[in-house]
Amino acid sequence: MDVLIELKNIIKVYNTGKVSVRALDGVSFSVGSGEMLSIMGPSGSGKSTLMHIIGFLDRPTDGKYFFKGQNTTGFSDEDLARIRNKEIGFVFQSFNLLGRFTALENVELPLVYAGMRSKDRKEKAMYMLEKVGLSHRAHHTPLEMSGGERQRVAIARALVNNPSLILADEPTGNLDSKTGVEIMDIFKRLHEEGKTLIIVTHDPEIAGICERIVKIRDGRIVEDF
Amino acid sequence: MDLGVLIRSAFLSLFATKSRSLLTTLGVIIGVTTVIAMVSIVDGINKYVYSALSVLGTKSVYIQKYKWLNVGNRREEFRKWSRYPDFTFEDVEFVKSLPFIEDAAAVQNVLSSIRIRYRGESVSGALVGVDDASFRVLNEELSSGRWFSYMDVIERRRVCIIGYEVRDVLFDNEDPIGKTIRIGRHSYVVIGTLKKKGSTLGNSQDNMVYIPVTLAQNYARRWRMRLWGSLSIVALFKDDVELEQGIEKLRIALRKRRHLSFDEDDNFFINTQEQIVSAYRKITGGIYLAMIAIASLSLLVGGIGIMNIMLVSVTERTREIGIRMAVGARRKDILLQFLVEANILTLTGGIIGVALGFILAKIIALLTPLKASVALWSVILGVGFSMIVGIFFGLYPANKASKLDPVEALRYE
Repeated sequence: MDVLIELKNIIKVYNTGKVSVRALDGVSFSVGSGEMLSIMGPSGSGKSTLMHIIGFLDRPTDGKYFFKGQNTTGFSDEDLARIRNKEIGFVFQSFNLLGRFTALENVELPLVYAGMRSKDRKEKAMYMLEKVGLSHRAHHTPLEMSGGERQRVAIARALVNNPSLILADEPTGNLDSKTGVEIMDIFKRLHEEGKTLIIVTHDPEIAGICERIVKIRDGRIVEDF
Repeated sequence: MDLGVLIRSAFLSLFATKSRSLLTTLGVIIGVTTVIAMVSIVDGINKYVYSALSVLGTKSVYIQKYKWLNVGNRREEFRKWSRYPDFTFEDVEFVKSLPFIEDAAAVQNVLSSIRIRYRGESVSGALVGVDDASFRVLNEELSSGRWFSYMDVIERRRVCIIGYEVRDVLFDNEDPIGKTIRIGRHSYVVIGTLKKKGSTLGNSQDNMVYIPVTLAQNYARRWRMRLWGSLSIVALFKDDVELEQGIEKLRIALRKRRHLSFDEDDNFFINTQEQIVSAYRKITGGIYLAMIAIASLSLLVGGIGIMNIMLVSVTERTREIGIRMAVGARRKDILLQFLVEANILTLTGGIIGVALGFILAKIIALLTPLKASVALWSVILGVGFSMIVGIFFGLYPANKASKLDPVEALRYE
């Protein structure tokens, strides 16, 4: 199994005025291609910060992050935007869809920034919506959809550019338990298809579905099994 | 990035806040309307003035002892000019005989206001002495009667030709030809009437009374009008002669005739319409520039409004910016998006402003004698200006949006 990401002694310090907070304090671990793992921890443990760094939304204060064997330390903002576009698919707790755009347009968005032609974009986005069972809702806006539908649109958006890694941050946090199970089923299916998934959660039941659980507390990994 | 997508998403977000977008655009609309209307009015005034001036004919020049529209030490110069030798009828003949001159005539301004009476009526007129050739050179048109003959001039006959206004006031429906009128203290027989000419720059051209130049000279002599009452020669160049070259040839010919040596200055002036036009330009150019600058100021205020609303929009849509960044938008993508939005606002305002300015100019053209027309360049100016405003005032908010931290933007409620 290839190593997809490798974190070495990642440190993240936030300077808020006089106080500096050490959100991550020497985190090291690696994730293999095709793995499905969950990052668990109470709020304030640093798991969100870790997810932001893994997803290239943020940079570590210190430490090394290898993505597909490449050291990402010196990457420019534009490099990071490109990696987020092509390699990472985000799924958020609060869906983070653009309310004024249709489901199809939301799914198209990563392809817009990838510079794909309109016709190809539409085709590919439609295919993804079909895959999450929402092709009949393609021209509705998120405001006209249920929570479960919105999250499926978000998953379609995360998948559309065929990323190497899917990062989900409490993906079932805003859903009822039945819908939550449906979403987790989609994730399981993606795992079976060979996708690499990292799910950040504090729900042990969700974590239980994953084959590997990384527990984090006070910015350090306390368990990894 | 796809321009179509940019424009569509810009319209989506502008339509989401319809009334706000409209109010913001209003500033630009007013600004552009003012600029367009101002430019077309100024243009209309210019055209009006130039056409009024060209009534006098651009190919004719006035050879005189004084210079038109002279600014400077007047007293000194007036004294100097008074000592210049007068022009004579022989000089008129001389000018007429020059090969590049089509025609020349003697003109003597006497009084710009003199009382003219007929029976019970009286009117104020401008008394000008002319000769038999002046008809062609001054480009006059008769409404009835005849022009002065050579004999009228040399025999100093007390005959006159009256302008439209003078005829209108004194004669009503009566035929004035052959009637005797009083000009000042003398009696004259009317031999002709002029066609209506209208007014030039507020001065009526229809209150003229022409008399033979020989008689006019008597008045000038009696009233000791050594400078203003001196004889003027109006010369018309041939069609194939360039004005500037013609003037230079004429100047050399006159210097020779007056026996001026090479180190002496001219003791005469060749005045042209161009002098009035350029003086007019000098005086009014600054005023027009100031008017347009004031109009531009309202565009500036409109631009500040755009900047303000775009800053609000950036703050409101922080989360959207975060989402876009998370799915791969680069900083320049975000910058471009907000720039396009600001530009759509100002461009829409610009186009509406051009339309309103156009309508305003049409209304002015209908209600006033000004031929206020919207020139293509002013439309380009208006639309271009609104685009520049959009880019200039949109840049700061757009830059602010593009500099947001993705994590913080995503966290924004």
